[in-house]
Amino acid sequence: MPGRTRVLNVQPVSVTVAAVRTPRRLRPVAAGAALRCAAIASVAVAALGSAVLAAGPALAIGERGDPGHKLPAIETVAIFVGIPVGVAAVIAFLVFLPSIVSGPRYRPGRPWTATSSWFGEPLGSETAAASITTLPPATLDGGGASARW
Amino acid sequence: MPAGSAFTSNQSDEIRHAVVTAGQETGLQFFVYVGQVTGDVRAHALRRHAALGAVAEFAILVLVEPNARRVEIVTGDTARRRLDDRAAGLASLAMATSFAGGDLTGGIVNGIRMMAQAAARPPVLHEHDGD
Repeated sequence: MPGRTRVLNVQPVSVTVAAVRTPRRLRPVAAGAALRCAAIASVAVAALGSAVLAAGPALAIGERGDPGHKLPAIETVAIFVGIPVGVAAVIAFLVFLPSIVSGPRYRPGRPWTATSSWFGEPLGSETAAASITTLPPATLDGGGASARW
Repeated sequence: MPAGSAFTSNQSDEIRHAVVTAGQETGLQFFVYVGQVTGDVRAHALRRHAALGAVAEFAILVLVEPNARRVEIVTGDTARRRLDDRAAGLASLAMATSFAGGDLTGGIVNGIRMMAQAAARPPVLHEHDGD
C-alpha cells in the first residue's frame, strides 16, 4: 500500500493521517498475524517438504529390480483387518479387566443374586431367625429406622 | 450379576473392620446382613435381631436388601438408649444415598461410623450393672 500511494502521488495529507492512525492500533495485531502466517507457512513447508523428500526414494522402483511378490488375499486381510481387530480386542479386554477382576458388583435397579453376607459375631443363622415367632422384649422395646433408595 | 459373594475380600475386611471398631468404640454390638429377604423386610430384620439371643439387647442390626432397595436398622432395648431412632434414621438415610449410587461397601462403612459416633460411649462416672 505505501508503495502504491507514493507512485500514484495521492495527497500527502491522507497518507500522514493514515500513518498517525495505524501504528499504535495495528502493530500488535499485525505482529500476531505475521507470526501466525509464519507458523502456518513453516508447518506447510515441513509437511510438504518431508512428503516430497520421501517421495524420491519411494518412487525409485526398478533401481534394484524386483519390487517383490504381490500380497495374497489372505495375507492382505490378515494385515489390514486382523491386526486392527486384534488391537481393538486387546484394548477392550484391558478396559473390562478391572471389573472382571473385582467380580460382581451391585448396580441399582439390577436384580441381586449374590450370596448373602453376614458381618459381626456371633453369626446369625437363617434357621434361627425363621423359627422365631414371638419377638423378645429386647427387640420389641428397641427401635431403629428404615430407608429405601 | 452372577452368583457369588457381593464383596471382594478387601471390601469384606473394610466392613468387618468398621463393625469391630464401632463395637469397641460404643460397647454395643453391630451386625450387618446384606442379602435377599423373602416377605416383609422389617419383620425379617426384627426376627434376625431377636435370633441374636442374649446379645439382642445390646445389638444394632443393619439389614440391607438390595432387591427391595431397603435398609433396616434394628436397635435393641439397651442399644436404643445410646442410639435413638433419630440418629438411626440419619444413618439409614446416609446409607441409602450411597446405595443409590451403587456403593454398598462405602454406604455400610459410613453408616456404621455415623452410628458409632452417635452412640459413642458417654463419660461414665460410676459403672453399675443394669438399671
